[in-house]
Amino acid sequence: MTLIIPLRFFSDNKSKLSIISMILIIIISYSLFYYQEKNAEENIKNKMFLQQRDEQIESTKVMAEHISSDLKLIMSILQGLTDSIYLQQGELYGDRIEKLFNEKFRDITAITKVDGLFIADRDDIITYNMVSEGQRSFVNIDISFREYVQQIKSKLKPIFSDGYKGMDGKYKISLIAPIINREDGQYIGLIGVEIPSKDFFAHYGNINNINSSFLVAYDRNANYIATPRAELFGENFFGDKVQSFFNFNDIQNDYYRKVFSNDLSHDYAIYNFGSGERLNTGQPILLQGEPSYFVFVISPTESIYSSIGQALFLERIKIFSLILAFTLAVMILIIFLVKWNTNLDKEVKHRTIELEESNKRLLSANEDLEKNDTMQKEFINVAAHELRTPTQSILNFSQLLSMHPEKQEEFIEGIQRNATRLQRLSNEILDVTKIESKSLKLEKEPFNLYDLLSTVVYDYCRLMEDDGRQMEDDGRQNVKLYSESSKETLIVEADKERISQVISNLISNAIKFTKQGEIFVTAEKKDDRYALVTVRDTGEGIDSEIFPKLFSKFITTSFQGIGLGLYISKNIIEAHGGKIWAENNNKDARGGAAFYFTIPLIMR
Amino acid sequence: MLAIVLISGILIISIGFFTVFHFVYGITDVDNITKSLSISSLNVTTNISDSKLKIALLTDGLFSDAGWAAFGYNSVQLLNLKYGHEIDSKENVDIPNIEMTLRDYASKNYDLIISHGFEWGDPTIKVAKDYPNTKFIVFTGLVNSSNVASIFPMQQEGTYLLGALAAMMSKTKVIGFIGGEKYPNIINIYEGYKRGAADVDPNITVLDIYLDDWDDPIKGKKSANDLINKGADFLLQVADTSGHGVIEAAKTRGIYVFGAVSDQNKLAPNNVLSSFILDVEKSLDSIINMVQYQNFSGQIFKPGLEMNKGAAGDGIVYISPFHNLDKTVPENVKTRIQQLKEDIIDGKIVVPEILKQ
Repeated sequence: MTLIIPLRFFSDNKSKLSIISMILIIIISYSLFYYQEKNAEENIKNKMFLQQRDEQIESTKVMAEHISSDLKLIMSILQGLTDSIYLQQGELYGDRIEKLFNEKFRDITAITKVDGLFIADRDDIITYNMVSEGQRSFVNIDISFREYVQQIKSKLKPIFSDGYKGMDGKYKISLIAPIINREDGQYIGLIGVEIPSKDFFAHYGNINNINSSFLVAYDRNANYIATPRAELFGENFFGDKVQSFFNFNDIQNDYYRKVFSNDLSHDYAIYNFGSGERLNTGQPILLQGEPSYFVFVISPTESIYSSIGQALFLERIKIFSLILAFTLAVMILIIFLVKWNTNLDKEVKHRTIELEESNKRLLSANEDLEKNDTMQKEFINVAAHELRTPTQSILNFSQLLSMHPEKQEEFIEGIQRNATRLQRLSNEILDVTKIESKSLKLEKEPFNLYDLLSTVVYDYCRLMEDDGRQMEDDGRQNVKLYSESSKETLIVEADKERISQVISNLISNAIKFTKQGEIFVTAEKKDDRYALVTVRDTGEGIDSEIFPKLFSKFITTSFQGIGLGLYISKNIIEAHGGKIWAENNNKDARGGAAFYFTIPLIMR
Repeated sequence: MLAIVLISGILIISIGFFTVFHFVYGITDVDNITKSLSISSLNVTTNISDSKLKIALLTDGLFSDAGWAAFGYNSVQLLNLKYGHEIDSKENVDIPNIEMTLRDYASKNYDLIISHGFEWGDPTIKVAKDYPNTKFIVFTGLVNSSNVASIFPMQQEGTYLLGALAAMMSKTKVIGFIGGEKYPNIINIYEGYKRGAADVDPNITVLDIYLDDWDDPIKGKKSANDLINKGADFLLQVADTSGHGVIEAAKTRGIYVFGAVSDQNKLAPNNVLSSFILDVEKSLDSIINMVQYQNFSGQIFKPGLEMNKGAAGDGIVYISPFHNLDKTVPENVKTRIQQLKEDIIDGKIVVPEILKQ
């Protein structure tokens, strides 16, 4: 897991500090957790051990009681049998005995595995022996050598025998009930059940695996009757063989001595005889009110701790995963925040740039506005000035007319001329207003552009002739207007008036800037789609200063006009879907300028 | 110088004294043995020695046979109980392993090894040679050497009585015998049985079968059924665990059967009319005493019939009471049997030892 914190994050000291403190907090938290966990584990371990110990004490007690009750039950079955009429009459074998024993034998084997159920006569010879499957019957065997036979004959009471080595070499215990004649109290014989002691005790707990809790059992003489260690069967616990095996462990011996003497002041013992620590809980098995056997449950404490350890390990993994998950979550949160912060930063930056740009735009718009405003003012100034000039002239001529009625013709002509100019100015201003308010309307109709061109040129020719004098006054001489055109028709659908206005404007401009020379006006087809109109003069050409702004408002170098003509023309042509442009002719040739415009032809 | 002479003199005198004493003592022992050819003379010896013997009983039979091997087991347990001797016993030794087993025990310094069965005779002689300090007794054996003695009970005297009993009570006049294997001692038992039957009824037919297996009750049962099918209404079985099958067949078919070596009435109280029995206690006592008091002699002892268990005299063979079948035996038969017993014990009737057919 690598923290992808942008370098920038480290760049300032505050961030560095916060990161370091964050790491420190994590380290301290983890150390605290570790310390706490260790303490808690130790506590749990101790508690669990105590719990395990108490459980083992309790379970050993329960086990001893269980064993005792099982053995008592078997004994009660035997005692029931000794009261049977056949046995009482001394019938110690035969079919009837077999029948009688069959059922009881099943009852007994339901409680524990037994080798056999047998009867011995008063000479201690086995007269009958009912055996489990796989076992051999030992009729006619003399069992007078068995200790319990001597005991039962002297006590005439049920016996839970000490351990002994059976005919098959395995260790046994026997439960023996005397058959005593109820009437004369004579000893008739005995009934016994031979139980393989290891198998019997294995029924109540582990007796084979010494790596976990296992049990061992002893008889009254402290001889082994059940143990995982085959070599110790029948050995006395306090004998040399066993003692040297356990390295003469005093704690162990004391505890065993106590349990063997039915002193239960101590429930358990913990000791180590050399092969690891053991927890030992022993209990006497009480039969007929006295301890007849002793059972001990021995747990290698390592096995207890390892089982606890397993539980703790799982718990540890759980908590650790929780913390890890939490840490991860926090880290992801931090990364998310950092990223979010970065994004926010970017966004702010972006917005700032945008704002700056829009500011700039606003500023430039403002400038434009101001420029416009200035232009507007200028326009008004110019317009007012332009309007004032003919108006003033008309006033002057009117005054002159009233003072000199004799020169009426001259003055009226002056008035007319100025009124015409005034009208033209008004029209132009009106057109500009229309263009700017986007209310310029075209009344389109199909017509032959060439015809229009011819008419306009013709009108100008006449006008020029009429104005010959005035033009001479302006210092212009010898300007000739030509119209060249192919004889083909150029049908366009356009506003005739407006196109005428554009052509007139271009021609009048050409005339204005041409003091001497020629003006060619041509119309031709271009790309079969457009009609191209060219007005070429041989005048002074377009000033490079105003060239880029040629089609803007108020652009003029002439003394006449207020520089709206080209602006209006451009708008009219563009409104027709055409283009208008200008270029200077090559100076080496005839010089002058050329204006072009196109308008779409009607496609047939 | 004088001191040396004195010391040497004392030494020589004491060695001489010791030698003479030992010689005299030895002679006394030999005398004892020659005097006590019969077991009874040794029987009365009380246990005055504290030395505990290490004794082993080895058999190819099963202690669960309720007969021959059970008898062996009981006898060694008795030695432990009565004298506190350290005992061990091993059953179910495969016949080919007899010699190996003997060697194994002999090498463990047993004072006395009881080879329990006729078939142990030859291997015992062989092994005993290599272990002169160990004493061997072969039960029902017919071998002997310096450290090997045999006890060959006159079982034919017991079966003579059973044969007579069968012949007197048989309705079919056909009686049978089933033996484990055709060993000389088994032939001897059979011959006694046959002689007993013939002596009371010369017209009696005695059928015999040898199983060649001591531990197979199924085989025993099958052979018993064969004999019953041939008319036998009395069977004597001397076949250890295989004999259980014979008894079972008798039980199923409702005929009488005789037990061997131990009282086998317990195996079928309504069918086992009687058994010939070897007296456990008396069987070994004398031999043990010989070993205990170091007057062991390698002889073949042949104790005969006794009136009943533990009766006075040197016999160790007796027949069991009839138990709950007592009432089925006619009084005259009982009287006749009683008379025959007395005659045998008194030597009026001699049941010959026949080891070959």
